[in-house]
Amino acid sequence: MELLCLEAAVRARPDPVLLGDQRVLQSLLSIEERFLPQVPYFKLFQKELQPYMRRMVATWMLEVCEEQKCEEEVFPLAMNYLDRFLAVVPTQKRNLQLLGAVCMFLASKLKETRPLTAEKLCIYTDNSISPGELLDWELVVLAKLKWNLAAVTPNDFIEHIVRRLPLTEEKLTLVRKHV
Amino acid sequence: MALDVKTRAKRYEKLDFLGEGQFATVYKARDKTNDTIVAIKKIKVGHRTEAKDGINRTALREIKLLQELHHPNIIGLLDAFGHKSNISLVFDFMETDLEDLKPNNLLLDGSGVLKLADFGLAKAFGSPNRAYTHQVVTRWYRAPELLFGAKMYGVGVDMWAMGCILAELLLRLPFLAGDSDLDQLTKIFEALGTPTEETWPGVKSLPDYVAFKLFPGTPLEHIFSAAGDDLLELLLGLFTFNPSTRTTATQALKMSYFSNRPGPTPGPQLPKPNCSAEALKERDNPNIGFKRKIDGLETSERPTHTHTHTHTG
Repeated sequence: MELLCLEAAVRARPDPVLLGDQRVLQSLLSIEERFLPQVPYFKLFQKELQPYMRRMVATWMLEVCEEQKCEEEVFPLAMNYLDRFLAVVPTQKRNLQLLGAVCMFLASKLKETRPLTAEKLCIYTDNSISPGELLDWELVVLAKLKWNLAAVTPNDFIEHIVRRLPLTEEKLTLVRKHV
Repeated sequence: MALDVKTRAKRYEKLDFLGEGQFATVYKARDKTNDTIVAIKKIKVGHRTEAKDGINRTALREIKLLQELHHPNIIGLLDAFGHKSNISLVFDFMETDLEDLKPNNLLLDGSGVLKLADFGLAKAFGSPNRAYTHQVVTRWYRAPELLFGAKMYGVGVDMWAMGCILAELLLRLPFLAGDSDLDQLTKIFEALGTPTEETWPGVKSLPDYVAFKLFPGTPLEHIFSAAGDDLLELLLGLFTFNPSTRTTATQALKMSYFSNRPGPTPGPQLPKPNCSAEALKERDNPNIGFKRKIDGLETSERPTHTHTHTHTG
C-alpha cells in the first residue's frame, strides 16, 4: 500500500490570525496602491482604444469566468492585469481580446487549482486567436507587468470588512453573497 | 514587442555552468548593466503537454512569493524573463554551490549569511498527475502529521523540517531518507519510536492513519553521538510527535543550545567552497599566509568540502 500526500480538494478555512490582525488590512491597503494603473490611459496614449471597448472585453471576460466557474478572484485580477498593461503599452483594437484572454490565462494560473487551458480560451474567442499567439503574448504581458502578478484586488478586502461589521453569522453569509 | 524578451536575455552573459537538477539548470552569469555576478536558474520545460499551456503556473507563484519576501535570510530574486515556455530566474550569486537543487536549500553568500532558496519550486514542478510522492525531494523533511494526511496543520511542519536539517548537519547525511511515504513513516518510527494515542493524542483520527509496528525508537544520544545535551534537548523538542506540543521557533531560540558556548562562528569567518581553513587563517593573519605560500603547494591542492554548519562545526 502506498500512502499519498496529495493535496485534497479541501477549502482552506478563513484564518482568524490573518483576519483579526489590523496590520494585515493596513498592509493590503498600502500594497493595493502599487497595483493601481497610474494613468488615465485612454486619454493619454491609447490611440485606437475607447472606453467602450474595454467594457466590451470586460463583459466577455466576465462571461467566460462565470461559465467556467472560475474562482471569484480571477476576473478582478485579470482586469487588473489588463488595465496595468494598457497603462504602459499602446495596444491595437484587434489585439484587445487576445490581451483579455492572456490576462484571464494568467489570473487563472495564479488562483485556481485547475487553471483555464490555452485551448479553451481560444475556443471562447471563437478561434479568433491561436494558442501560439496566446503563449507569445503571455510572455509579453508578464514582462510588461514585471512578473508581478500578486495584485491586491477589491475581493481581498471583502472578508476583512465583513468581519468588522456588527452582524450575526447568518447575516454575514447573506452580506458575503451580495458583495 | 516580443523582442523585448530577447533583449532581457541578452542583458546577461553566461559565464559558467553551475549545475543541473531535476527541475532546473543553473548558470553563473554577468549582468552587463551593472557588472554584477548573478546565478540564472533556467526552469526546465516539462513535457510537451505542459508546454502547451505556457509558463508553468507554479513558477509564477514562486516568483510572486520571492517578489513579496524581502529578508536577509531569503535569497533575492533580481529578475525573471521568459522565452517560449522557458522561465529563467535571476538570483543573487551565492558562494556555496547551487548544484544541489533540493528543497530546503540553504545557501551562504559571500559574507557567510545563510539564505533560504528554492522553497516551493521542487513541489511546484512535479506534474500533478505524476505520482509526486515518488519524487524524493520534500518527503524526507515532511512531518508525520502530513504523512498521515492531516489537513489542518501549522508551523509545526516547518519545525519538524528544521529538526531534519539540523540532524542532517550533524550526520552529513539525510537523517530520515524514506523512499516512499510508507517507508518515510517507518524510518521516522524506527528512529524515534512509534507514536501512540498517549504520546500523540488524536493520531489515530488522522485521515491516512495506519497502524505501525511498535518500534521502541533509538535514544537520540546514540544516533547523534557527537551532540551535546543542549543540542539533544533541542532535537528532542523538534522531533516531538504531537504537533501542538512540538517546540516552536520562539521556544527553540530560548533554549540553552543557542546561548551556550561556543557561540556561532561569525558569518564572514566561515570557510567558503574552494577555500581551505588554512587560507582563511591566512586572511586573518597575513604573516602566516606568507609562510604558507613558501612552505608548499599541498594546502591549496587539498579538496575541501564545506558544510553549512554554523553551530555544529
